[in-house]
Amino acid sequence: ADPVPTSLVEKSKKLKFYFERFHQKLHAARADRERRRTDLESEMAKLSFPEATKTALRSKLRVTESEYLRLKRAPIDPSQFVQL
Amino acid sequence: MSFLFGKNAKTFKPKKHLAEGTNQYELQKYAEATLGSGNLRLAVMLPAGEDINEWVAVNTVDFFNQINMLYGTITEFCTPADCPMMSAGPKYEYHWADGATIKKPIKCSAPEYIDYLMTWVQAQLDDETLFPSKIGVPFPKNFITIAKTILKRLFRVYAHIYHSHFNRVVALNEEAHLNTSFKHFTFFIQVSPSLSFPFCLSTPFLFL
Ligand SMILES: [Zn+2]
Repeated sequence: ADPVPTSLVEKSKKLKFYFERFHQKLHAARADRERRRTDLESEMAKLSFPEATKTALRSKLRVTESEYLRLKRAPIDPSQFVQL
Repeated sequence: MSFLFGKNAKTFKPKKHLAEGTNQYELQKYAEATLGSGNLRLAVMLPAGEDINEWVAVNTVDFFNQINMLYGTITEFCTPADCPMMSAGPKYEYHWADGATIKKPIKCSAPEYIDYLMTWVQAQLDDETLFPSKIGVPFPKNFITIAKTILKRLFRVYAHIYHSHFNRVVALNEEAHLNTSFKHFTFFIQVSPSLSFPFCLSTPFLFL
């Protein structure tokens, strides 16, 4: 095979870094989300909240999680940008 | 060919029935290399209580970015001379049409096709009426249909990379990254019945 040009090696390094981090974050995000849900449940159980309050707080958390997903798609600022 | 015996070689899990040393054996090794240990089948599932549109949107953007980066590292080998047609195996040859501004399919080379395709996808993703990025703005009613068209087209870029440029991917030691991204993609489109594709998606071997 032809030798790989240095510029391409650099580009490929950045790709690998991005992909490896992406997959770490992908799995961590699901675990974190599940933890936030169970934390809320155990807190609410400890404080013996009424059902209506529990329902409202669960719904509030769901909305926050959903908004967080949307913010991930929002136009990125330069500090988050992975330059190729 | 030193890349064949690189430091990642121990992570490959080749199928036992293929004779070692054959070309097919070597290609299969690379086709099976994936990143890390996370459960991708779990990762694609709609989180409890999440809106399907929001979930499909964020994943579609991620796949677009990944394909963009993957193609970016092989783009100098994907020239009109190397790839005069957008193909993904002898049975698949694509002519570009976006169904809106370009209705009559254009016969073009793979790099031109992919340029049309990625430009078109980028325009869809940037369109606030299709992919709202501000909190509280609803998705259009036909969002899933739109996303499905985007994903179906993005699939062709993976297919082209596997079919025509997998050796370059291996030379760059990117096979695990490509395979993981593609596996994630195929799990994702299979998990939601509303996204399921009319054609059969198989393993990367289909294109090797
Ligand atoms: Zn090509």
